[in-house]
Amino acid sequence: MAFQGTDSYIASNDLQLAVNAAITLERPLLIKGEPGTGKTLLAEELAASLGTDLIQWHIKSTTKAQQGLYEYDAVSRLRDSQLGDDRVHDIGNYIVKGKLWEAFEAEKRPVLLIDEIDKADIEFPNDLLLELDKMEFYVYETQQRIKAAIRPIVVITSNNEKELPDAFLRRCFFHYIKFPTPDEMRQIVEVHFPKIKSRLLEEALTSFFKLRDIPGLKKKPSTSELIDWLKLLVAEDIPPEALQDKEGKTSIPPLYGALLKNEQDIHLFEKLVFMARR
Amino acid sequence: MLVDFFFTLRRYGVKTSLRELLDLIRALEQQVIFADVAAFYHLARITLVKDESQFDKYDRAFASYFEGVEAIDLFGDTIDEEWLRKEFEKRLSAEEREKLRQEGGLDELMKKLRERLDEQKKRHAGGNKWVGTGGTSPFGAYGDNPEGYVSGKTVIAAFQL
Repeated sequence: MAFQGTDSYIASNDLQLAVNAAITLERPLLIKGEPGTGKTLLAEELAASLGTDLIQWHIKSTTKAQQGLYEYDAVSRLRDSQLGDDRVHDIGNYIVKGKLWEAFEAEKRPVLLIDEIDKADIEFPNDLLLELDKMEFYVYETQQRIKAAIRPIVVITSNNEKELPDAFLRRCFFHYIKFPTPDEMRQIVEVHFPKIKSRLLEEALTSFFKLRDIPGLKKKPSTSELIDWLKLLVAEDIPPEALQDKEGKTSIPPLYGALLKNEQDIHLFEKLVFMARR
Repeated sequence: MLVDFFFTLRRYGVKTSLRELLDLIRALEQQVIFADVAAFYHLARITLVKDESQFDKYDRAFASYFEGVEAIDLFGDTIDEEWLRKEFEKRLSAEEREKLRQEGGLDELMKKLRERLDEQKKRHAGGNKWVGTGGTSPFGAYGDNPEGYVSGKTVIAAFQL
């Protein structure tokens, strides 16, 4: 089962190789890259193309590794004991399964997405070393050992906000999604908007890559912003001429709010345009 | 297997471990890739390098280990030879072009250059036959001809017709 991208997801050759190596060798695949380059989408498309389930575990700053395994719901048990419910005698009734457990129990080899692992505490990846390596863990409350029948395909994404521990990295395969080249970008856009007027696309991409070249932008617009912007352009039915530079001078592209998300960036951009016009 | 490659990487400062080398070997054994240097470049990077800031070091180590196998193109498309030639011919004057035609055309001249480069194995300066610097031969850098010819990497050959 080799992954080759899908109808709605363009995967570069080295990304395909990374995914297939991770599937074959049963290693977690760590994906890094600029925000908006399709890291999370990769897991969704991978699951869709393999025709299997996607189990998503979104990490927040408060997420603990244990929550991915299981949690013991002591509050429900206390309440049940006060109400005299019979269930209270079996502690197993109060073990809530986490995402990892869910993935270990799946009948068909699922894709487990651990999204934005860098959001959590530095200890978080370390706490999952053994679980991801051996694909098993121990439930102390019920004294059972949970072991994955089939090792799930694990995709981990990171936005590089924190360094990940070495020991963790050694156990993963690593792929860095580079920002797409104009040619790849054209393919990506065509996948999303098959009928977009080709001239509009041409002009929009030129403006877009020019905008990315402005030095000092805090948050450069990425693929997902480009696609949003194109959606707006298509919805508003803006003619391609509106995007062209008039006599070589910089003009403000319409609806640029979809591309620049930062107040300072917008100010900087407007200032540059103003200076270019003088 | 690949032990020298592994130590070359470490010598260039790529932080990689035995565990990762074993992963790479396992991947080769399971034929994730087969007899493809470009794919090996990516596969080894996926398994051995875990930080994009180390990619440069990896590239250097890889190039030094596979010296001579530099056919791998790390920078996308190479410069189109046709384009280079047109650009070069554009810079010649009408009479130079005429002379070039008499000599048998650009192809003939380039063939001579290649032959002479094959004959000559040492660095050379001055003189009137070999490719080198400051000479009067049709090939070489800093010669009497103001125009230079750039090909491949950084070979600058001054052309005198």
